[in-house]
Amino acid sequence: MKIKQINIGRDFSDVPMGRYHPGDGNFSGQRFRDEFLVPALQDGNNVVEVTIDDTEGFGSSFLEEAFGGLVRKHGFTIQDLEKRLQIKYQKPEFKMYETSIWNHIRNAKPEKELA
Amino acid sequence: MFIDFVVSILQSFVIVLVGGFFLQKYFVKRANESALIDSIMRTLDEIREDSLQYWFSDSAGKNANPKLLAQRIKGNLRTIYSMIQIYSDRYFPKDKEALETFVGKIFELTTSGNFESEKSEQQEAKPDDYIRITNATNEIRKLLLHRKL
Repeated sequence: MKIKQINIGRDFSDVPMGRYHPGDGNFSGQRFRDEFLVPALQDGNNVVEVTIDDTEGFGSSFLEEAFGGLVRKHGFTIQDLEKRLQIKYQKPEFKMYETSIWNHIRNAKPEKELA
Repeated sequence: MFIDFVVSILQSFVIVLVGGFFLQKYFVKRANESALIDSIMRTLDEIREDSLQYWFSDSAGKNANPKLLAQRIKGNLRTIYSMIQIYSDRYFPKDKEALETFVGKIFELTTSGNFESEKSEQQEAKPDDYIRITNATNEIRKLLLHRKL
């Protein structure tokens, strides 16, 4: 498996915020998901490492849209994401965001299934 | 005889010195812990006040600057999570997980849904979130006050 690395702070924004694109600005969760996470995960052979601690912090709405949206909007399964998505950080307080990311992924329901 | 007397005095002096050292160390530790708890409490208050103002103002117009308020809430949440970790590691490892869980709960309550979002596809702030935010902050306060008193 290849490792694809994404550093949110360096590659996207050090102050990510908001949920939807374009309504909530250029650094929203939706844009991060659509332009970074989905392309990286679409190659099924990739393990995707997302570094989160070069940012100033997140809101839960950003994290839900970016990571929960992978299951809700793009049909990735929880099992697949648990296998291929890794959240990286050095600063201990970023554990709060990692916990939130996995909670959003595990609580998300695919929207097509709900319809 | 004189030597025994001097040794006895020296022994007492050393005991008092060592005892005083540990006593002072204990009180300094308690004072530092208390100061850290006060600091956590203040940050908790700010988060509670800011998030209630952010979510429950009657209209956006009354909110002085929701964008700045949102950044302050996020910054304070990160700060308080960090302080809780330092506090737990240093003084109270037994309740680290519980404290982290409470802060995580406050994080979700205050920054989920339409937080930093103008679109309202997701749920609006619900009145029962008001009491949830208040209660979650009080759970942390309760745990810390038990330690302080």
